Amino acid sequence: MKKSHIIILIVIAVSIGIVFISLNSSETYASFTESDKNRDKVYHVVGKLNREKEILYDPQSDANLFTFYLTDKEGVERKVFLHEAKPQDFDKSEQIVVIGKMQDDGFHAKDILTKCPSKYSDAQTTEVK
Amino acid sequence: MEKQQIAFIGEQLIWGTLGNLAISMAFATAILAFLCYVFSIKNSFKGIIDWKWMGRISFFLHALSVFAIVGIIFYILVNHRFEYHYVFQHSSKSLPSKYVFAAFWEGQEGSTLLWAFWLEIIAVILMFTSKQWEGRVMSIFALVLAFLMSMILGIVIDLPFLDEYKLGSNPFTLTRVHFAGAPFTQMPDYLKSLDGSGLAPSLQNYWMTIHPPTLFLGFALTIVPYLYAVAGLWSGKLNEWSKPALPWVFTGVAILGGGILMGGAWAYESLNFGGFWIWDAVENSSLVAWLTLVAAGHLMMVPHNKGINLKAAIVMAPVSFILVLYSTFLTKSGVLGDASVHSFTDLGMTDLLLVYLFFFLALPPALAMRKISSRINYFAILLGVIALGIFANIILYLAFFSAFFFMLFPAFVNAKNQEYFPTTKKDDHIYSREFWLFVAALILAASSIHITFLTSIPVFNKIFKSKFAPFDIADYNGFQAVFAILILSLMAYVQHLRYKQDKPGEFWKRMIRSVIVALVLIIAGLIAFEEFRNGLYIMVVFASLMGILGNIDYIIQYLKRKWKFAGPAIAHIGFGVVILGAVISAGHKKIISENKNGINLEMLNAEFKNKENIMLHQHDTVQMGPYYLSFVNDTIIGYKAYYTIDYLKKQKDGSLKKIFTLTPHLIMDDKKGNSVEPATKHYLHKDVFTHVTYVDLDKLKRKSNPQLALMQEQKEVQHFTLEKGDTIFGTSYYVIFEGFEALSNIDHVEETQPLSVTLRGSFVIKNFKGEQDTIRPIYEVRDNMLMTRKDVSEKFGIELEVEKILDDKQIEVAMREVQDPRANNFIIMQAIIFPGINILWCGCFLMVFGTFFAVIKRITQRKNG
Repeated sequence: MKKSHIIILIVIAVSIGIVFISLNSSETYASFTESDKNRDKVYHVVGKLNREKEILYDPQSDANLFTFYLTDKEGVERKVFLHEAKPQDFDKSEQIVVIGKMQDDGFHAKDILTKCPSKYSDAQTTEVK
Repeated sequence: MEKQQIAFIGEQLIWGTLGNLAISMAFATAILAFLCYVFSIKNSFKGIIDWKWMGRISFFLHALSVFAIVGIIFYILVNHRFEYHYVFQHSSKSLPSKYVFAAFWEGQEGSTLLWAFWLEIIAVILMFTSKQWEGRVMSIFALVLAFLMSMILGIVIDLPFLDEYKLGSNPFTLTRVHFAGAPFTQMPDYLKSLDGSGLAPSLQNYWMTIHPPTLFLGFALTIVPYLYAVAGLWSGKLNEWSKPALPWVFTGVAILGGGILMGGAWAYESLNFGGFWIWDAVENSSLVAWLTLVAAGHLMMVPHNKGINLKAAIVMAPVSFILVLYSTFLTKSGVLGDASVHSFTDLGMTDLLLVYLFFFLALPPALAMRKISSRINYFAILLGVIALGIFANIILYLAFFSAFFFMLFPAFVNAKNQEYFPTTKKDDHIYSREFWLFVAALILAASSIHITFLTSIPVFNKIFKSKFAPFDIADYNGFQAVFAILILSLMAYVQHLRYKQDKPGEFWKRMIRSVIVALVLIIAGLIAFEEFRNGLYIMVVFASLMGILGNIDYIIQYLKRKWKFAGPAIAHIGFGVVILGAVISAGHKKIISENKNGINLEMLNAEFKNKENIMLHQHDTVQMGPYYLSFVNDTIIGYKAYYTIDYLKKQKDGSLKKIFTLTPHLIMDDKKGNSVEPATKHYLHKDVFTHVTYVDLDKLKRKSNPQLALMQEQKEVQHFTLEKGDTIFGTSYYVIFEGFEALSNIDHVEETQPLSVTLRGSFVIKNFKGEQDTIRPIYEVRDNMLMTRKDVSEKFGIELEVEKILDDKQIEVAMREVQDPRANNFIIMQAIIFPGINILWCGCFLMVFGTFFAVIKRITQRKNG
């Protein structure tokens, strides 16, 4: 075996290794029910905003707290605590992805993705970071 | 179905007709050029026709057609021809004309054309400079362009097995055809009232005028090493192909690198990601194209290429172009969906894009086969697998996936084909430049594999029905930091090695100075900055210092300051400085808008940082880091809402002095969503960055529009009778009457004289959070005439008037909750300090400049010798 071949093998092995490590540490999409079962893990939950229930942002008392009710794809509804400022176009959003953990009082999200439908144009995604 | 003919008024259909004619021409002439050039290689049908010239003529016609398409689209965009859907979708009457370029390439069809436009220019240059390679290089080039043109053909193919298959997406589709069935398409004069939906507000930025064309020129340039490598395999001239391609590769490295960094600058200035690099899918796919292009370029540089380096160069050279195709697939097929901040639409071209991707991926291995029959067999089997996947339709992606692995097969076959690939029995010496260049290329490849894999998660989810969420920044940073360390260390010493074989002792002598200086600097840094003491951080900084110093030393020692050869070393220094700047800036980024109250979430997890946004009331002054911030006012000018924020600093005597003013703004767009634009104060050593995260736009709109302001409902006046010390309870506040203060002398009031007295009431308003305000209405009697003046608390939105003084004790007041637009005005904002970002920009400049310098040197050198 030549040195170069040994190095190729090492690089391939290392590449496969880090890909697997990355996959293992990856966050996954889930439903509220699933995230309730494993409360230590961060999940991404896709759902729709319930407009009937309270959507509350009171920056006077806490500028970094925004609460609303989200119904996930399985139809389960939970209160979501977003620990961020309210996204500017939130009221128009159709589909919402919340990223966080389930707790006793509801789903605590550290990040949110909103998808706004526009009248004629293509769907647009904005990330709030 | 019979259609009713409606005579539409004001449409100019001629442009669509001309445009479609040009598209068909471009497609047909590209195929013609491909055939002519293929015939020219073996000079088939000799004597009848000069195939090379036929190829050139068809290619010219093709290029002219593409320029015509681009010209027509610009014409209809500039003239607001909203009868064309592309114009309707990406511009509007109110769009400033300077954004017409951005509107042009906002859409998929436009960006395809931008890519094609650069490809035409490169093709015309290659036509006259590729000499003996012209036939092979240009035929494949024509094929690529034919495929690109088919993506904008938009024709419907109706074959027995392809039921109304739409090939590509046409930029000249009419608006009324696109929205066929909508009521307005039945009105003959619909054009009169039609206005486009405008350009996405986040793209209304000067970066959007220069960043995409630069990036796409970079993408376009990746085709050159692909073409030359393919031509090399095709002709069997495995050693000659790399030399003519090399200046192109490094031109691509400079331009693509510059384009990517411009994207970073745009993200830094106009998006709210809080940084210049967020590992977004689009950023990643251009980065991997750049990394592999760099790897290919370095491998191709090794003179008298043979053995493993030759194979590596031939494998690496086409990769960058294939990754560009892959990124086209990712962005144009809509497969990325939620995974990116960039928005994508599925234009129904997924199958088509996959076919192209696999065709060009399979082409180099197929041509690496010696026998024509095995090449044909290979392609036939591959196409069979893909066709099966498409028509079976159920396991489409799985079929492609297996096809991909099938494609690796000839690579193994060819590895044994020693006749084709000249090999050498001798192993590369460990103290030789080519050995370490090979290692560096492998590390770049591994880095690209990692990034590509993480970016491709949505594709894997589709194939395996898995549910992996897109990776976040930290997932990338960890491993990529290790790759950066390895690459930077290699950069430091590989230049000091000679080709073939070097003497270890001499090599180390050349290296020792840089190592010592880097160590001294890093130790000094460790002593000076406490936050610096972090393992990975120190290693990255040390490696970038090594990379910078090693190359400075190389210029001093080895080149003896012969600057005309210094291009590569300058580019390497630039790369080191970029990484150093990135680490310092990202590592020391400080969010100063820290919220002091609110629930602490540290208990939940360290990841939950909920204190980055802060509320700023108008006229309030709040301390943030070294500054005191004051929200001065907000105004609407045109379609932008501006928020003026003063940055003050405490002086020695304790007073506050204004240092600078930032005006972050919000672009209002009802159709495409509002978009926040930050404002930045640039210093040499740091940037202060501010953006609003939440504002009450309706309030501002009311305030800016007097008519709306009048329409707002005013609450009813309430009357109360009070004694001193009494309290009125409101909805979220309470008001205490604290008494009167006499502003005139009332002790010597004589009965005979008309009464003149001025009293000022004092009412304290508090809420349950402890905030308070005082309002002081005036009660004045002058010459027996009663005059009252009400006072307003802007903070609470309360208006109060003393109506009557009943007797010594009791008074009557009128109170009203006002929705004064100015009252209680606030913004939610973030302020961030980025230190050392200018180091990064300096590095960018050095890197691009050094690379160009090296390319020019190489071209002139070749011309002279």
